[in-house]
Amino acid sequence: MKPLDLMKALYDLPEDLIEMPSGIEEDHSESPVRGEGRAANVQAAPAAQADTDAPVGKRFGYTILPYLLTAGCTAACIAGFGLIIRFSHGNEIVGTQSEIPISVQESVSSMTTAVSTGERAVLTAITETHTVQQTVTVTAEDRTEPVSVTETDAVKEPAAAMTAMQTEPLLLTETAAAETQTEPLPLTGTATAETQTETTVTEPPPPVYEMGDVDMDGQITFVDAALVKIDVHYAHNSSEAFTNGVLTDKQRLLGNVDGSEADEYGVLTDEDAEIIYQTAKLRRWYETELTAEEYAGNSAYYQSQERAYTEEMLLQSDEIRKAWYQSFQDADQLYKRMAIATYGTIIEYDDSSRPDPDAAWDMDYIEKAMEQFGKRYSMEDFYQMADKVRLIFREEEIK
Amino acid sequence: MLDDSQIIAMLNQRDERALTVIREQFGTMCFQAAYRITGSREDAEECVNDTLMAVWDSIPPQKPDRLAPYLASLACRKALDRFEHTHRQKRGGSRFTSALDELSDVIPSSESVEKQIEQRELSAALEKWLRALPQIHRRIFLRRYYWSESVRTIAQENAMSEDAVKMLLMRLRKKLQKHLRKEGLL
Repeated sequence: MKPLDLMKALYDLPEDLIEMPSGIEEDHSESPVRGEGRAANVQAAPAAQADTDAPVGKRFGYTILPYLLTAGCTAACIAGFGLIIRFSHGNEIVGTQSEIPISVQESVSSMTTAVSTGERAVLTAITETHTVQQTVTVTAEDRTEPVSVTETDAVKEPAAAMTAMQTEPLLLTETAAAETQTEPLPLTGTATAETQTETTVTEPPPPVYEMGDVDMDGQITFVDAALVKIDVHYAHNSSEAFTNGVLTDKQRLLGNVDGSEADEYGVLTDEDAEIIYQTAKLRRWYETELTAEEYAGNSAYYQSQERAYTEEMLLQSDEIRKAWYQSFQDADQLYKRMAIATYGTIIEYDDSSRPDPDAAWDMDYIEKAMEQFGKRYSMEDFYQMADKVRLIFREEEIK
Repeated sequence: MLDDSQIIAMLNQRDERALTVIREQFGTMCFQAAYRITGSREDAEECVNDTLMAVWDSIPPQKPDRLAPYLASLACRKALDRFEHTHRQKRGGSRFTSALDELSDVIPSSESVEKQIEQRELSAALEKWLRALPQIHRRIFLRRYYWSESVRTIAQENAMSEDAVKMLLMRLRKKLQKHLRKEGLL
């Protein structure tokens, strides 16, 4: 038997098991490949849709992306800048996608919103230096049509700009997006998207980040979050973004909440803890955290159940993860960091079913790492450390 | 715009216009499903044509409840055939290749397992295993191995980290391997 046989077996599965993913949908757009060759005929792109109640976002993958391309976002992406895309309806944000360059197309294509047919939605794409708005109307014929594109100047205070954009009325013109977006944005690098001619652009000013806050509805209002997929939680893993120096150390730290990414960042400050807390708050998983005792018990249980997996993963673990642990010469730092990382793991995995073996896996890995460091601390010490971290978060939450 | 039942009725009446409708309404979907496997636009387009032929041949007697997954399944199978044909030696470049590679640890080598296992037995075992999974796990597994979705996309759609998705997939593969062994298929 070959792996291909297993694939064949998969494709023999009954239909009721098969859920259509958003990326492969009953779409009727003309181009069969995402975003390919659509900008040039952006007005002709929308086509009839079978389900008039279908979320607009299901079509955004094919109809909005070209608008983004023509609006210069591709240039921004290629230059290594982050991008946050917001779908808003009236004053209400109905969807947010923050994304880093490499997979912006997938991000957009997978966006699903709750905008109803016949209503107008505003798509906002924000790079570090520019904000681009795209208004689209879902007509009675259930088409998405470009109405206007508004591009703001360089955004010095993106958070404020983002808030303002939710309420400002947009210009309505009949001009196609492709026609209104002719000037390249002042970005570093060379834009090579197929929808644009090759354009060398100038270097932008360095971004200025200001920590803000998160309101109780979980709406992102601080700029640090703009480049980091804080609600979807993965963009920070981009090595490309790290390489390009787009993400700050704090942002990189976010990527290490679950111990998933290597970096050279060794010290956790109160501000770092605050960021993690805010992350957890955004994910709304902080409410279901385990106690140290519960976690210890779960860990022991799963260690017995999952030892084989752990051993295998230790063998298969990537060099990055190993390097991450090995980069800490100070065991105090190591444990503090692991406490944070594991706290993140707990809250991350705890929302579905607990106890979760994945969290236990991290714990198991930590145990291995502790052995490597000569067992200067016991696991009990570690649990106490994790509890201290948790208390910090709880105190912050009370405030 | 015709609904599934209308299209199936046309097929049952051997009305060839059904194929035009299917191409219009589901052509893109079939293309994408095939493209993810073949990694080739030309091959994927061929797969769409093959899919149309297959649906013409299979309905009737088949009576799918939902046309979209039925067509997607046909397109995937056609794409798999084409992939097998054109990729006798593994090549990089498509996500499907990557997904297939990951599955290779479930079935390590053709020499170490019984080659004569019936495909339908394997499919039945797979179905049984999938139905026993929590819905979220089943969905993620199928996204990766049925639809060849990238880990990143899966993570995004399920509000998980990429590491978490990779970890979950690894565990699911292990569980599947265990299940197939238990079923005597490995």
